[in-house]
Amino acid sequence: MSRVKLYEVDAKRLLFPALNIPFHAYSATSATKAAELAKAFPEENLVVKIDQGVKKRGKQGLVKVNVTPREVVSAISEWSKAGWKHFIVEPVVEHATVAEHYLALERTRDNWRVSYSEHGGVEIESAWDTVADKIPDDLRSAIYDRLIPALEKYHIVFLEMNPVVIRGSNLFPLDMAAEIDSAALGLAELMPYNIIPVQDHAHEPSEVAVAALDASTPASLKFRLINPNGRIWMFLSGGGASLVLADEVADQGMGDELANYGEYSGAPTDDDVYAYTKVILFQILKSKIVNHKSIAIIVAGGVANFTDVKKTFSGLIRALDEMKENLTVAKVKIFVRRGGPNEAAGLAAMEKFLKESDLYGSVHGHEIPLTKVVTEVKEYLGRSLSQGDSSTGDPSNARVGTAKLGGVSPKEFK
Amino acid sequence: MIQIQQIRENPNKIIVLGDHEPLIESMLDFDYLSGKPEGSVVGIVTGRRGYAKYFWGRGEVLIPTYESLQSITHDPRSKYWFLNLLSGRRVLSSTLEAQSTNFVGGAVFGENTPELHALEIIKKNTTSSKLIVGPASVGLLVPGALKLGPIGGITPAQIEESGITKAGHVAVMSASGGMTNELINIATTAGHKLSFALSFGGDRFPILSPREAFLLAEGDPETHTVLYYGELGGEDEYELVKLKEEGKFTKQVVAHIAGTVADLFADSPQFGHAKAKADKAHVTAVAKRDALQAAGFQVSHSFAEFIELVNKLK
Repeated sequence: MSRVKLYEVDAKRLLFPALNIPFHAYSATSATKAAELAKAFPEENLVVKIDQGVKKRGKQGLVKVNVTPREVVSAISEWSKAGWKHFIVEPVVEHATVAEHYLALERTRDNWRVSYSEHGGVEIESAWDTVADKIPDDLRSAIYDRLIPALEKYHIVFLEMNPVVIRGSNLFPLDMAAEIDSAALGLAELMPYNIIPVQDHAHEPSEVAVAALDASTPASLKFRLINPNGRIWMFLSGGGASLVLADEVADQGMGDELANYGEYSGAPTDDDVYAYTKVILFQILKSKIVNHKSIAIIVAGGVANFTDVKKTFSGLIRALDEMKENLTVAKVKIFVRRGGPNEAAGLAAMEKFLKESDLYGSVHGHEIPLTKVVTEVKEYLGRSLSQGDSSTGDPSNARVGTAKLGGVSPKEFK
Repeated sequence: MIQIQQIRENPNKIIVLGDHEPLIESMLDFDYLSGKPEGSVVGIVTGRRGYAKYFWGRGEVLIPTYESLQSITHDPRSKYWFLNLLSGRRVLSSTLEAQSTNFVGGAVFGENTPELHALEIIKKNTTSSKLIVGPASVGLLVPGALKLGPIGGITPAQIEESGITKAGHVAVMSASGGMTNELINIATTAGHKLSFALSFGGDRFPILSPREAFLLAEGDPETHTVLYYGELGGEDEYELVKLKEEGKFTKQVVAHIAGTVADLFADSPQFGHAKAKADKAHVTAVAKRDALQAAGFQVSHSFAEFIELVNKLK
């Protein structure tokens, strides 16, 4: 239900026919053999690139040009050691550097936003002031009569071609970065192409498990690990409230302690919530800080319109109950704020369970502001810190978001 | 487009596409608790001709079910609204069909509607100009007059306690369904009553845009203040800035844009709503807050501050 990146090989497979370009790209992995490539390409002169939605590949050494099939395989083998998995191999298109242009199209509410510069290529960043919405008349037909109808047909909502070589009135894109609307992937017009989008980051096993749960239910279940050794874990309901609560943790100066972002919404069943909770509890108990520092779990959400609080809480309580001994030993306290249908019954059941199992932090309904629960967590973590928690200078608290992949931090992907 | 004041006049009738018993009952409960002589839900398109039994207060009512939209005759003295509960994939065809008939507007509930389908509905709406909220919207609420969707809650206790049956002067607008209700809660806890409330839905291209919703609020004599909740991602807030700069919007606003937590990540993650990802500098939560504030809107820098600002409203 959002814009997701396409593999370059898929973008070219879908769009080259509209541009009257024969499609010869080859999707390679570490298992690809030189003989396969020699058979696929009559040319000896190839280009190989990382194909994982990464930007500025040229500058990062993630592209090799004018290589033989054998050299392609050895480049892939080197890159694979650094954790890269998807590669695209194509014949080299001979052209002069001055022929490298820049062209991007993005779907907006009113129309397609077109950005163009005749100074494309690896140095586009320094030529950014030459990018404008004016395009040469020669290219109008290729863009408006051929490319845009193809983009709309396949629900591709963003496309950047840098560089694109212009030959007369034809476009010949060397690199393509594209985003497709994931909500359209199940539509009949896209089914035959079996499109699998690029994963936006290296997924942890717990994230994969939640994604699988999400795919199996009409409700929405999301989980992203930020810091596996953080002290604040969140079980949040609703796309908006989850964002507000995560903001509040950061606003109160506890961003470093935020372990995860996630949400469940869209009236999940109690079984959905049970399975979701178990995955995250296992992740919490794997944390290096267990038995060293106290941990707070925030179970919170806005005032639900139609998600039943009692039902979703019963799934939560069932999962917590199965693991309550471990959680108590791990010095976990749970702070709750939730409103909505069957709020009173859901909160009462939660309060009873938390008190009986020594996990009680606080329990509130819609009568207190959404974000107050974060203040309570701050007080609790601050208090338990002064009561003999080990030092906070633990280097294992570094966040995973900056983990290096192939010598390039994901921040530089942008 | 119909004005909010017109919704308060004349009877509003709702035809539901798809079926969701608790939700339909909640609209009838709202009507009953608002003291209306009869329920607003007059038909349910289930694909089968017949009747469905619902509560009306302590009594019962039978609501006709229909095979299709075409098989329903409209009473010309009433305003008709559709509530589309069908799945995202079926939103386009069903909404286009409803747009061609006599409805004044509607709400589209389904999540996962393709962007280009929403844009097709928007394009058609430039001529038909109906008040359609969604996709992925919990609906539209005009206290005492119309509850179109789960907005404001679905149990009688919620509807009664939240005070959404009584009219006032604060309008609530939100990109998030849950936060729509949270904002209603904040406003009513602070002692205010609502003039109207609506949820845009968290998709990239809401059919009713924030710009259009602000114009509805500007044209509504009952609305004195707008509470606005937005998120990182998308450019809709820049349209609000333009409205303000052009002098087309003059009323008091308290706005909150969520999503500063994205800065903790090396790359902005995709948050819960389809639109909620900052892939460019000008669509981060901070950039949009700054732009709204520079245009003269009241903007909070934390949600706690948003609540304080609402509590201070006269």
